[in-house]
Amino acid sequence: MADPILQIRGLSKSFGALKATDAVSLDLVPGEIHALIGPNGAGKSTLIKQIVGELRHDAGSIRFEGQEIGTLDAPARARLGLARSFQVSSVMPEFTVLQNVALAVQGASGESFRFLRPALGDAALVDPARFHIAHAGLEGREAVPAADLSHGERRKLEIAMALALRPQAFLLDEPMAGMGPEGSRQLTAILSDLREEAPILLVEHDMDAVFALADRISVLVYGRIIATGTVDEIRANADVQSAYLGEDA
Amino acid sequence: MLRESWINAVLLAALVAVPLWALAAGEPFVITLATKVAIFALAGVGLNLALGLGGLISFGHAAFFGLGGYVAGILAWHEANAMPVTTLPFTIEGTNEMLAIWPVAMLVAGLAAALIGALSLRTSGVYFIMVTLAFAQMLYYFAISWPAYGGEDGLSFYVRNTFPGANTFDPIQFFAICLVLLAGALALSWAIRRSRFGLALMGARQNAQRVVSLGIRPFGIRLTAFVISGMITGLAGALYADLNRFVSPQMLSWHMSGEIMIFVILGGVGRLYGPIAGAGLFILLEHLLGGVSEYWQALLGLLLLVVVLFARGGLIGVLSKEARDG
Repeated sequence: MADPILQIRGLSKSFGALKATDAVSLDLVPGEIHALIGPNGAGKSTLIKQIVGELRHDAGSIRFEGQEIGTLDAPARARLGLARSFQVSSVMPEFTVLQNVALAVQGASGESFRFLRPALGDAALVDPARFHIAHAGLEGREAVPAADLSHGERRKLEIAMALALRPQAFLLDEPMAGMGPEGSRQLTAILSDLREEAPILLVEHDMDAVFALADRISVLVYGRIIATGTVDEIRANADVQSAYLGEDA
Repeated sequence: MLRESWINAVLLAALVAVPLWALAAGEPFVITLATKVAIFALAGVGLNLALGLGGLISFGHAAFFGLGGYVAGILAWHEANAMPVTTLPFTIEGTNEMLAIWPVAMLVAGLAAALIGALSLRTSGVYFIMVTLAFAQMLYYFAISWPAYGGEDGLSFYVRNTFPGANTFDPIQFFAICLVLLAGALALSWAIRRSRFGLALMGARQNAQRVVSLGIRPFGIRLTAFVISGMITGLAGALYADLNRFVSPQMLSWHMSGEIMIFVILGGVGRLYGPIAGAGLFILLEHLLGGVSEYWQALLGLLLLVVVLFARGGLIGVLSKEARDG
């Protein structure tokens, strides 16, 4: 297997007596969709927050493209190319689609201290933004305020913003949440293409999507990874079945 | 948006037309009122950058207004008394040149904003409001207890500061100076809200966590906005001191912070021309109702309540029938 883009070793995090993350090791290699599944409360979101730098881990290491990033803050990790989408849609509601994505392009460029030139007259922002909007399937919706988008469109906007960071890795936290079957199907196709841009660590409850998309699956239970393998291996794993799939899927 | 730009044009036209009418009609007091509107609007334009674009609810902008005022007052007082401001480490003379006073006023207000902002921006919500209030009140009590420049009684200077080629004692000429500065601040504010910086600032107001995940640190963006905001309000303070030829600790008090906030909220938070509408309405009410009853501020309070409860877009929001901020 190719060198991992993201390499997590022995990551641990406790909240008081609760071990939310218990010696988690995980790799994300180029070109793959690595799904992270587990019952509610298993610590999936806590793990994502530690990877992006929103929470500080207690022990272990997070290496990104060979570099230890455990001491960097969240904006610095984002600029290295670690793109994240949120479990609950997280966009700038008063901004239009174009403004939202332009701000993402701007974040990646690192040039926010320009005061006089109009941002939306700046081809260096607008051209990539339009490209990513089209890529995420929102063409023609550029001028619509994000607050007026449908739920599915807002998820697509998040994808466009993640794309605009020109990421080396995507961390997508339940991108299918709240989507209807048609929306899920569309998004599954988009995500399938997305792995060519950068590998995806996918936290998802929609098992149909996970089984359709994932190259590898890791199963997190009580903060601990109990199995990692291909779709077939995970389906056949007795531990996983008793811990998770048996009761949930 | 088309209607809002019409309202803006009407507001600006009124701000120019009223003093011109007053000039023709021989009503210098009305010109002074219009000058007050322009200066208060300028202070509000400053606050609106922090409050409207950045969502930073500063209840301490009197600090910058008052500092600007004291800079103008102190420099003018030293000039009038032919005493240097300081001789250590080197001699700084007083001055009565507006062109010299304004940069100093903005510099002092900007430095204060950098200091206050660096500390207060580590908090948010109610705590931010309280920390900014606390800093302004510190300056207020300092001004009261420092006898060198009049303490509680304030500081008078009898000659208005000068501007090359103008007679600043002529009300209409001083008004024109204030109006040009207001227009400049509006233009800057207009450019900023469309710029990359404005995009990041408004983005951080709407969803700071998201902005962080895009690789932008809100702290530096907000601090910069707070400093620019403080500098504009400081400039307004210097003009206000010149209008009255008097500065007092009152300019630093929380009443003043509240009034600047009222200009912004009455006119419409985040609206470019909101502070003009707000300051205009405020002065109009003060002038009309103040003559009827000294309790006119109770009515102002009621009006403010109505605006906050039923018309979040303020006066401009109501007139343009468009409730969205920004």
